Amino acid sequence: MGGINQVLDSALSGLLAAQEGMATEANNTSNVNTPGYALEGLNQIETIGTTGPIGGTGTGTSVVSIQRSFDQYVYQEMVQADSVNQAAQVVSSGTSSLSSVFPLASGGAGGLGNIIGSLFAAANTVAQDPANLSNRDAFLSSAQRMVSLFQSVGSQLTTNINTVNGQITQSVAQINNLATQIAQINKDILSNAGPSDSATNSLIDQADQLVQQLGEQVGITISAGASGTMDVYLAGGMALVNGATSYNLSATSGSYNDGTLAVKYSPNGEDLTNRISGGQLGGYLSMRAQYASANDSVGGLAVALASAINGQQTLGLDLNGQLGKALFSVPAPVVYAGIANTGTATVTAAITNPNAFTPGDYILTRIAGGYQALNVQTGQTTPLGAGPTLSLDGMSVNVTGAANVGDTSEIEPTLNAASQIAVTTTDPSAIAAAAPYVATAGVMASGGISNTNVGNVTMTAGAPTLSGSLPAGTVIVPSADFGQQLSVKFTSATTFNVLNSSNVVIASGTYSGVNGAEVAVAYPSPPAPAGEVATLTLSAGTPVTGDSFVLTPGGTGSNGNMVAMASLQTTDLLSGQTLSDAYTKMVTDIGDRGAEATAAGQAAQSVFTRAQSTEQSISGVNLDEEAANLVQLQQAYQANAQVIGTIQSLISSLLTAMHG
Amino acid sequence: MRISTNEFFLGTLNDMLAQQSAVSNLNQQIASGQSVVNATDNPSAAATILDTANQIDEISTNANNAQAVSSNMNETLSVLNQVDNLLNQVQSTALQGASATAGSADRLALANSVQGSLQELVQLANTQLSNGQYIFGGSQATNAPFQMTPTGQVVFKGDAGVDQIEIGPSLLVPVAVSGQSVFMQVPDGNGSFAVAASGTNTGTGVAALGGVLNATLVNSEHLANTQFEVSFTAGAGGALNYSIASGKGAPGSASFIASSGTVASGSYNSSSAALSFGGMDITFSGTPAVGDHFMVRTSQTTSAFQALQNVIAALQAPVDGASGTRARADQLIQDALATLNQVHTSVLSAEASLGTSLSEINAVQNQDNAVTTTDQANLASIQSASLPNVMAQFSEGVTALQAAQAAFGKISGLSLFKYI
Repeated sequence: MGGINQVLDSALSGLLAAQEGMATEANNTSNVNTPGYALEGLNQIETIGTTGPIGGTGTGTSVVSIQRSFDQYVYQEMVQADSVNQAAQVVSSGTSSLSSVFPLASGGAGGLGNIIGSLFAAANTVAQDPANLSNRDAFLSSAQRMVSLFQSVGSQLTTNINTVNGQITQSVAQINNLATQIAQINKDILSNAGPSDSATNSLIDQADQLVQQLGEQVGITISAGASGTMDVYLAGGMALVNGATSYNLSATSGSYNDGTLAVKYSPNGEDLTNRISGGQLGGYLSMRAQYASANDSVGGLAVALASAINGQQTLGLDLNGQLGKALFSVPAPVVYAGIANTGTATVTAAITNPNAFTPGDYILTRIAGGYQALNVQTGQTTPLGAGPTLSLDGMSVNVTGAANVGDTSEIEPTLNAASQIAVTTTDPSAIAAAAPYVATAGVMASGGISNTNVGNVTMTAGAPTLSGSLPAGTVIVPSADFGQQLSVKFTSATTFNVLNSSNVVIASGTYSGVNGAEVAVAYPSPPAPAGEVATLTLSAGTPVTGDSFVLTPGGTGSNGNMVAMASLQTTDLLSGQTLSDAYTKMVTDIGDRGAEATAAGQAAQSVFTRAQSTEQSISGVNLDEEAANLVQLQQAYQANAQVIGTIQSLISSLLTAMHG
Repeated sequence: MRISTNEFFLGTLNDMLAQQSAVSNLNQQIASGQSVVNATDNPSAAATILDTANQIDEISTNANNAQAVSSNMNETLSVLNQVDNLLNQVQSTALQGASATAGSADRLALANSVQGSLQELVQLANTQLSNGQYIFGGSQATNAPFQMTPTGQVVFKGDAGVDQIEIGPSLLVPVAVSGQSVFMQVPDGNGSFAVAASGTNTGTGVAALGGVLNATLVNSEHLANTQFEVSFTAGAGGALNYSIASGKGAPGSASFIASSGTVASGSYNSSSAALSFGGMDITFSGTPAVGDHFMVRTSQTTSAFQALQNVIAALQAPVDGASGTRARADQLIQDALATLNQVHTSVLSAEASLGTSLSEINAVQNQDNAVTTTDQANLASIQSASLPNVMAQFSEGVTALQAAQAAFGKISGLSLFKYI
């Protein structure tokens, strides 16, 4: 049976427990706003009672430990949700800023699609009045405005890519820093191993907070280690923190010196760029790919437009009667040799047919017996043959030197096309508006054309075409005679000669009264594309020997080539689409991804909010609760104090009674 | 569920931020009047907006082309009208000259007046558009296409290159008419055949061009350059006989070879003086004399200027003097008038083709206007913010935000610590 001291001891243990409780509540209250702080509570047990003849009595209470209110599973959920949310927010805000580069307001006014339309409108104005210099000037300034917008969009996207590369570097530095700190805390926890006390709790709180921050940077998985330590792994299973050891990531050049940073796992140098997801780093990597893809697409538009107009230029005559020259210059595809290459091969590429080309990057790999190309966007691999000239999706790829099996090259066909496209001339007379040839019935006489034809055959100039697509039997005038005045003269009802300006027969052909006949004049190449010919058609009819036609180069009033140039607006030029269709598709794709990202961002935000509130409902501090607890503890303290007071008065009355 | 104090504040704050962002978005729509500003706002509308705006642009470019072409065409039409008037004037002058009362001196005066018309015609054919381009020069826009040589011949320095322009998807219209076809490709005579009197004729017979009886035959004669010579000879009993020989070379000259021999012959009867041969017929008035010759051939290409030169030459031909002089002059005038008529036909057909193009352009323009109106309405309905809706949402949003703020004020005042 317990004595009075035992009563005193019991009361004292209650008093002390209440004190410790109030200290814990005070700690909770003071940490109400501390990030990562987990609500603490007393782990208080009843002390073992005494035994006696009439049964034992209790001996009070004792505080075994101070417990964090914490659920590992809920916490991990929250960290995951935070990680996903961080990535989603980066992508959501990135895509919405990407989509604002291609404005839609007022029907896309001021956007690339609109300004390309303006160029063609200006081309039509030149076609309306080809000799008019101010129309030609307007066309050139329209081209200049378009080029400036291409450059500005291109450099904006390039800047975005550079910024993202900087953010990737920072993010990797932060990941390394956080991993180091977590490993340090793990070490402290391990060296501090003992019963759960407030000191250990605060270390664990810090570690929890740091892990959450790490999750905000990159997608991670967490596993609980010994004594409340935490091990952190990347989504792929690579350890970032294992006990007291941390492992670094690095942001350095990848397999090519292309300025694009790769994220590598420092311990083994493995390239994780394509495997990292989640966290801001995951968001940045995803945004970088989107910016790069947008830059490629815009570059594709620039290349297709420039190549079509430049090509058309070389098929017509400028104001000086010369074949036109390229109006635009666009940088050639950029090729980066693999850092690990062992051969001496140099690879160059050119986009030869934008209509068969889809903007995007390729990896060219030397394999046994030839080459193969990987389309980075689609992941499709195409065998290409042995070279040295390879044909790849509208591009011509040329390999010089010897490549060893396994050597790779990265081809970025339109990397700089948008940011570096330029107009090459300011001379309005350089626009090749005139058709190469005009056919007029008659013969040259006294410096003019005199028509004495008797038959009813007419001759008209057609559109330039490739010699391969000419009908059989077409009479082809060699390119050496291109540009001079030519004449066609019937030598019988079924035969005719083509004569040059000195009246020397340079070609002859047969004529059918039912089908007429085709005459083609080969363009000099270069400047014109190989195989291009100017076509002229003799109509079906009845010619009479001596009937003639004079073929003169189109004069300054001819708009034949300009009309063809203007009609490029509705011609399929890029990946089998018109420029405006390609632009619409690009903008819509970006919009689709943006809308998806916005939705995903909202969803991730709400998932995170829910996970966070679940976690907070377990580990968060509620001040009202603290107040109530405090009142409760205060009362316990007062009650215990009252017990001691009662004992004191018992003892005092006992002593008074004894001393009389 | 237990809620931590932090969560309590944070949750309310997040709600308010979301409300604020919604209100700000609505505010932006009200300010810009547009509900879709970025593709992200509504990707499916983005494609429609860009496609529709592109179509509006393309139509506007085509409409601009159509406008420019019709203004060119109207200028051309007005020049052709002046050419019309000029030809009418020349015709009436020639008819005056053909009158039996006109003497040589009168006719010379008339010839001078036609000479003036010829100069005028060259000027009209060299008309420049307001932009300086020669209307009838083809692609040779910067040099006058019709130049008169010192000998009075007009040389065509232009070409047949007629520009075209697109006024609708794949719809090209010619922006001009070829000067060569209007002025330099006129068939002489009645358009199918022509007749000329021999310079030694002494009779009063004048041949009038009839019609074509067999177009296929005339065409093959044309291709073969067949010539006919009508000769009048003395028949039995003082009758007048005619015979028509067909062949090659210039009839009436030594180079004429009657390769096909006589194709028709008979007795000439002034009461039914229509002669049919080679798919054509001609009718004589007056009485040819024995030994008179007339040359008939299919039409050859001449120019409007040459047609006027012919009128001048006919008017300059003497009418007084030896017998047959007036008849020869009459024949010249008649031939010149026939050719003048062909010039007229050529001008009229150019006017007709311009008129057809203009009405086609007009139809396309109307169609374009209709499509543009529809497109613009579509664009507006997709892109424009519906203000009543947006305003309603905006007020709702503002009210909700105010409520959230008020609630936050109340909630933040709640604390148990106040009461202990």
